[in-house]
Amino acid sequence: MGENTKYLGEFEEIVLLAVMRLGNNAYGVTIRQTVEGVAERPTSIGAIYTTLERLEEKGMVSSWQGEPTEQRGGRAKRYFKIEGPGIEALNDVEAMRKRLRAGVPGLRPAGSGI
Amino acid sequence: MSIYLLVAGIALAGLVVLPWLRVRITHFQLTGSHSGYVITCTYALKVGSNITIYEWSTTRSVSSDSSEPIKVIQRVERERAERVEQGKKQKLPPKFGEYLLYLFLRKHERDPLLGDLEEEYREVYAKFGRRKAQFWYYAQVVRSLAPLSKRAIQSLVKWGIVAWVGDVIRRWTA
Repeated sequence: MGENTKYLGEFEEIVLLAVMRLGNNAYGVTIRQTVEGVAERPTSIGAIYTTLERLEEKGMVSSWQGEPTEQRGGRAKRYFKIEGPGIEALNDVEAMRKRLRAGVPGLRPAGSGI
Repeated sequence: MSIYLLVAGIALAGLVVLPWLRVRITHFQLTGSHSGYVITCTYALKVGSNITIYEWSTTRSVSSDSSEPIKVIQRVERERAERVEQGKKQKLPPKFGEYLLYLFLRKHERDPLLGDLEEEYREVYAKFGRRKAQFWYYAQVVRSLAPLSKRAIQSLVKWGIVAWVGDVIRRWTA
């Protein structure tokens, strides 16, 4: 993986965490609902798919086709799964954040919650 | 001048409404007697399937060898089938919304993304009805068009630059 492909944007990080959180049930609808419900970030299905495509190009997620269902008008789901480089990138972002925040007055330490 | 505008306005409104005008049988009764049948029909002039403009009734006596009762029954059955078909169509997401997304989606994304939207559309439809579900669908389409069109423009710019660089190299080496 090239050096320039391992950086994560903020929204990419949120989507990656949502995919990781959902495990085997990560597809468009559930990812969007997690981003809106848990991360409290209003978003659209188009934004989710364009972000997932970028992450797939970077090798951070992989995808596969599910079974078509009647409820979806006979269209198949596309499931997503986080890959090793994705987990590595998430850990790197968290470590970088901790380093930057350490010792800065007026900030809570990273990961301490609200 | 104003009369022309009025006529033009009425003509335009007529053109918009005309394709939606239908005469429907809303009530139908067939009574048999020793000399023949009595057909009582209530008709309604409707715009679409919900708005009734005018309603009227007719009662006709026909002889027992007339084919008219069969024709009326066939018409009532045909209209019922049309209503069922229309109901099925109404439960599907708006085609124009799907088409707008089709313009920007890549081939491998079409099925999963439109399927995701249809899945949620059906949930909204079941909870809030057709109009609110359609509004929800178009809101999703509009919100999705921003990132999708941005990606399309970025792709165009990228390939435009590649084509331009290729053209410059071709001119230098020519």
